[in-house]
Amino acid sequence: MMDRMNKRWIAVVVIWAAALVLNYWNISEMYRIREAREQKVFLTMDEQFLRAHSEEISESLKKREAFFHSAEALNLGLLTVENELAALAAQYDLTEVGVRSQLDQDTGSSIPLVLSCEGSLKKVVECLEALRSEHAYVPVTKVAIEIDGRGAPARCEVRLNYRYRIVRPETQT
Amino acid sequence: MRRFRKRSTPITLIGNDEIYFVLQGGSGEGQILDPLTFDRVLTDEADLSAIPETFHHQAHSVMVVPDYWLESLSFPFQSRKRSLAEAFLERKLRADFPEIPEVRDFYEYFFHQGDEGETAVYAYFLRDPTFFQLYDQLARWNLHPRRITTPAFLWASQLRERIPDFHKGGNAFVHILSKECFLYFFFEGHFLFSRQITLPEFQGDASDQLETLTYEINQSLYLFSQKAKAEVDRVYMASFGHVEVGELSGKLGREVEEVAGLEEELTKVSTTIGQPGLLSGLYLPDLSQSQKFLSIYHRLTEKEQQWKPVQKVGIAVGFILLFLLAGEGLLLWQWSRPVGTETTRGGGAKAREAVAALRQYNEALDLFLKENQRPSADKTIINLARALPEDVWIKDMVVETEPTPGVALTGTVRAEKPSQFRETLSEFLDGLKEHFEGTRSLGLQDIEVDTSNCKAVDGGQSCVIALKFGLP
Repeated sequence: MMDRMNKRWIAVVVIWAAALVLNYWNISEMYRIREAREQKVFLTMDEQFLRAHSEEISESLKKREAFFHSAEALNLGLLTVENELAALAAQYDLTEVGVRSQLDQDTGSSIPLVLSCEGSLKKVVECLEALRSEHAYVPVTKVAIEIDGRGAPARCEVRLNYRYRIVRPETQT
Repeated sequence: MRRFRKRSTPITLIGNDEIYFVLQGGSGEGQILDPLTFDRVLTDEADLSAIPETFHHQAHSVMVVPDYWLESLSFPFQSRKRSLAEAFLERKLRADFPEIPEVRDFYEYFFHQGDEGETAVYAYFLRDPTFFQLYDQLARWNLHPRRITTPAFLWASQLRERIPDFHKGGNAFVHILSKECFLYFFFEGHFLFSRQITLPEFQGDASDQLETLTYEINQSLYLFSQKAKAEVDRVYMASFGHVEVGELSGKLGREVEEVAGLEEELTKVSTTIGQPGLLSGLYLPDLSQSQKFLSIYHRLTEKEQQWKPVQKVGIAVGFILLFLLAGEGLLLWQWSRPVGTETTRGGGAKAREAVAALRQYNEALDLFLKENQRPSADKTIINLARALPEDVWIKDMVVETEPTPGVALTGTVRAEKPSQFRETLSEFLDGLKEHFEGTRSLGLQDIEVDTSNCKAVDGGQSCVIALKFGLP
């Protein structure tokens, strides 16, 4: 008697559990289909956007490259940039030029550099301007200037952030 | 229109220490199989082969047991809640019959209202140990009946249909056969007790039989008055020609009535069991109609019967739901396939390229934005120089563009008289506000003037000042 009743209860539970599982599966399938369709729409939009703005995008990507210095090795890159900075300072008649890198603060994509020099404030400003426009991969983070009196040369210490990318020789740009 | 053939109802009849298996058709006709003695069934060695094979795969519906296997009791009970009454009954039966624990599994009851309005529970229960042994044995073979009834209950249903005032007062029913007579007593429509009387041989006239019958009926009427504390109001009879109504009325000294239409129906061969003893006069109505007569269920069977419709509906609705959901699932699966293949077939690499290109483009835009927002050190110095009045010059200057853009400077301010300091510094602040957006809120109080270190210079005075402000 109880067996029959229990068997029927088990049947009820099993059937309803199966219905619930199936319902859950259907709902998740609906979400999956919706997500796939949305993904497809987004993908189409992405492709359309890429086709329509391919020139702008490639230009932007090229322009972005100017914000990073590509080097085969970090020490080679540092050597290059230190020479470039020293040359730039010399170009603006700055004296007492010194460039040092803070390798202990390497983040893997940037290293702080310190450029120290001395010269007229006008030349220092011109040098900073040139640095900004021509060497985008070493943005200035801090400038400290000391002037002892009117007409006296300005002693400055410029902190820079050297942004680099280690590239293989064939992919170097 | 084709009529559905009614299934035969397997019935088990108990009488004379024998078990009769009857297959009853839709119209009540019975096919009785060879009887089995209790000895063949109620032994440990008995197996299913003892039961006629026809019965093996049938769901047994009814078992008709002798009236004397049944007992009744009545007691006052205020509540009409079935759960309370059942709990009370089971407790009472357990207490009254501690040696037969199964007794609490087989009872039926109803609420009864007395003449003075008092509520009582009237219960019938099976208490004969043979019944429990038999039931257990049949249950072991999965042949246990769903309902248990007695001839008295079957008669009661027939009499209730034919006698309008059957539910009022005391009623006696005399069922006379050639060699036996059955007496049934009912009080307020409920069976009270029955008796089986063996009549003397018929020898030309029925006077001996009448004498015996009269004596036994009078004894039983006395017993009735003892049990029911009331008198029998009406006596009914079905004698099939063995005894005349008038003769019995005369002997008893009270009116005996015949039940209209009953004998005609009973004489239909198909509805009676032609066996001697208890079953000889058993009227066998259509026992598939359970609502027609009182019967006792095993309590678990009753519970099973109560839940059965719920379970069946649950299973049916569940199946329908399952079917619909499966259909929905199939449709979804079919719909999902094209979507899945479109996104994966060949488009994967293309999609990854597009995503990578867009990510790089986004990163580039973020970088441009960040660089554009970064204050330019050279422009800041030029603007600062432009903001300086004639009498202020810089000693130290720190321009920070990352992470917190701002300017910190120290310088000297020169004035010929103290009031000129204020004018010069105000002029300086105006210049700063003109060239730097972040200095709008600057006031003279933001410029620290080190008055303790002021020096006399060229007929005037120069003091050291310090100022800090943020760059937007």
